[in-house]
Amino acid sequence: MKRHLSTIQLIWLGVLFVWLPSCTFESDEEFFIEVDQSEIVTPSIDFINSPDTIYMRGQVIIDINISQGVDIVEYKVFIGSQEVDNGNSHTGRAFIDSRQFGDGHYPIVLQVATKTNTGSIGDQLGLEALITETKKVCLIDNAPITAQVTGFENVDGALTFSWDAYKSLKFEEYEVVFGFPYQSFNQTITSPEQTSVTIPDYIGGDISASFYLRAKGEEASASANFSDVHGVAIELNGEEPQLSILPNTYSSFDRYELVHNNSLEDPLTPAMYPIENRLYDSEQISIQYTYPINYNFDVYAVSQSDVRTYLGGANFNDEKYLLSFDEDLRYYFFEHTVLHLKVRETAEIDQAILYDIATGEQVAELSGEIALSPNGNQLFEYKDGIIIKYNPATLEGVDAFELAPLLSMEGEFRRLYVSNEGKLLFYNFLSHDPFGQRTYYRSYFLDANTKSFERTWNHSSTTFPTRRSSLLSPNGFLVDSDLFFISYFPYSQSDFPDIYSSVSTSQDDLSGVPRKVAPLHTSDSYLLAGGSNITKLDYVNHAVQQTLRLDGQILEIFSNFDDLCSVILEDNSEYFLVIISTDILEEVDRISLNPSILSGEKYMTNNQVFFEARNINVYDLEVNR
Amino acid sequence: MTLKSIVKILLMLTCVGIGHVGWSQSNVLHIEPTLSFNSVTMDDMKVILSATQDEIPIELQTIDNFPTYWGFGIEVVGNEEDRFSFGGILHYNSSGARISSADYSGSINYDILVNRVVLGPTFRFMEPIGDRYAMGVSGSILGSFSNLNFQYRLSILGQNESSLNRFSSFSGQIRLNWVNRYQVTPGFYFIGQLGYEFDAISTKLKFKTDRNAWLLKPGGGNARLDWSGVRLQLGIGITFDLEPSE
Repeated sequence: MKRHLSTIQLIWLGVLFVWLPSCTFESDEEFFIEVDQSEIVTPSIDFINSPDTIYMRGQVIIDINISQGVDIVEYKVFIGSQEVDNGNSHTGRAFIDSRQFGDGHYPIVLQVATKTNTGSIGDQLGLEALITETKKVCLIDNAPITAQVTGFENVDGALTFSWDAYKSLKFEEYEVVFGFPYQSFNQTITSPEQTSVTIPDYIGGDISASFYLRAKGEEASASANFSDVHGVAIELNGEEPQLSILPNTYSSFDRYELVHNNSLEDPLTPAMYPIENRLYDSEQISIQYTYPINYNFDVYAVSQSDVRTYLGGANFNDEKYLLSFDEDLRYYFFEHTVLHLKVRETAEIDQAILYDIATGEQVAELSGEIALSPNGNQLFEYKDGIIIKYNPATLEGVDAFELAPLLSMEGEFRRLYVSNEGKLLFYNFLSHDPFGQRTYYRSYFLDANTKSFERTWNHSSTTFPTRRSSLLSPNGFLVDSDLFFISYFPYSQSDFPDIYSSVSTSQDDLSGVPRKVAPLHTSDSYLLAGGSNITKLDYVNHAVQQTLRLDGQILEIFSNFDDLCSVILEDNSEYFLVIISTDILEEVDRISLNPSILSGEKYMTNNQVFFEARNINVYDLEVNR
Repeated sequence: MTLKSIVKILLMLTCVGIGHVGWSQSNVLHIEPTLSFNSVTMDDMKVILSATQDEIPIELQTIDNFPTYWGFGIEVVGNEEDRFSFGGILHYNSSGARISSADYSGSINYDILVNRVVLGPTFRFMEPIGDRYAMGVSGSILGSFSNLNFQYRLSILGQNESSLNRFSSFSGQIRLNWVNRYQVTPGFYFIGQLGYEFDAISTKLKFKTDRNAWLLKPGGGNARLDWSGVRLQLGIGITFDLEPSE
């Protein structure tokens, strides 16, 4: 009975033990139920009232409709693969911000999940839904609209406004609003291909165009301006002022209208400017004016349909006739020559020009930093650190010396003055105060006769009003080494002359002294005119030396800076030129004046009084000195 | 008595049974691999299955409810010249239940799966009848290391969901068998046993992932795996001569 395990028995056992462990209980069966799917309802879904290609710009609302009779689990709206909206009602609104997409065409899909109501496991657990989709294409267009105008152009005598055609989608209209100085009108264009309009009745003047492009529910604008007023000017033609109007090239142009708009309120001669409004039909008109004056015109162009267009103003103001408007000029006449020296001293350039009185021709000229003494006898130039002395009657140099060995100046050089005695004043700018209220200057005094430095003088001025209380007035001059006289400031409202002393620290303001001042350079005094009185005062202490009373109202006073002065006197509506000796303040001559010449500048020499009007009127004086 | 104590006693008894082969007077060893057909009671599990069926909102049909299922094992016994023999048993068997529903949309299945490894000593009394046939009885004291899995699977329209809760317990049983043997050759025989197993004691069904939690049955009380049931074992026997050949 004792047996060993055979080979077959071992194999049998091995198979048994390999197979047995896999025999654990498992249940593979499922209870399968046949579910009727024939009653599943497929809903009708759509993007309401939308075309096959839905245009999208900015934020868009798309209405959604899902037919009744189905239980909606959820609907989703996709653009491309991105979900942009969802909901669970039968009618919904998808709010889409198209700006999160680039421009272009995208599929837009409405996907609706509805319950099947089959009673299946998925249906009962809410894990089953019928997916229904509808698909369209959307065009996303977020590119901004831009309005581009070409501008105005005269095309065959008609002004045309043009622009670039709008070539994108959703064009609505163009609108152009044309503006003129006194009117405007607009024009609406509904064709995108139209790129220009002609402005009816344009015959010149300012015109503006506001161009509006409306498309894609938006508006873009651009504007352009045009002006054609170059055709009007008043110029001198020989002796006569001439109104020049260049040809008007617009086909609807009929004529110009020129309306004189000068104020005729001249206290002296109100009746002497009988300029009436006139109509000018021709292209060039010459007007013979009786008297030189500043003329202002309003110029209109008139179309054939009588539309008036304001072209602008034309002004005539000829310095040749109206020298009084130039405050920077000073004239000196030299008895011993036939020349006169015209000196212009400005902040920009000083100029000394020597003229031949008889011919008016220029004889010599100096340009640079020039100083002329009040009496016209001393003429200096400061150039490249060298001081040059000239003979004012010939503009020939007579002496020169260097400044550097004498003094070292601070600040920026502004102006050189010289007194009758040859004392030089260098007026240098130092600085402005931090608030811009004051300007500081430093002055240096030299004696040109001894070529020696004398002293410095610190001076300040208020910045506002302009140049007030500085020594830079063209009407100022150095009386002597410590006295600077300014007859009045042309830029201020003050009627009072200013006197500055380099000895005293402050300005000596002659309060109450009227503006009518005539300086006298050969003595230490000046003349004041007020009312009917002429008073001679001391430069230094303003002490009254003499007084002369005239019958009438003194309108103006001027002197030859020496022994004579002239006043314009009004007496019972008559006008007189009264010549007065300045030494003893007595009337030496009286001449009746035509008031038409009174508006011009006057100046006098030892034996002549000049009226700069249309022509220089010269009154020879037979003065018994 | 703790689980560890019970396991120790069973192992000791099993070893005594197998060891008896060595120190008894016998000099042969019978190794009997068998297939077994086992019915189980599993009352608590059936209650749980029914409760689960009620809880799930889908109408589920019972596919299996702890049917008789076969197992396998091996018994090692010593010589029985004196009609008595003593040895050890090592068996494995399983069963389970399923409730299920399926349609075109998918399926839902809920499984309760139980299995165990049975270990214990056995004694056997056999009376020869004829030259080749013998018949007798056997008794065993068994310890079962049981596993319980609650497995839930949902598959709807491609969406899958599942869960698995695993428990384990130890229990003790007594098994009594009617034994029949037919000797084919001197070293090989067929053996069949028919009997009943009584579930005696059981520990709590503890979560495998949290040993401080255990399974309760609906209505209260600890749930247990009741392995009681009829046992039919069919197998072969191989006799090994433990003495060296002369």
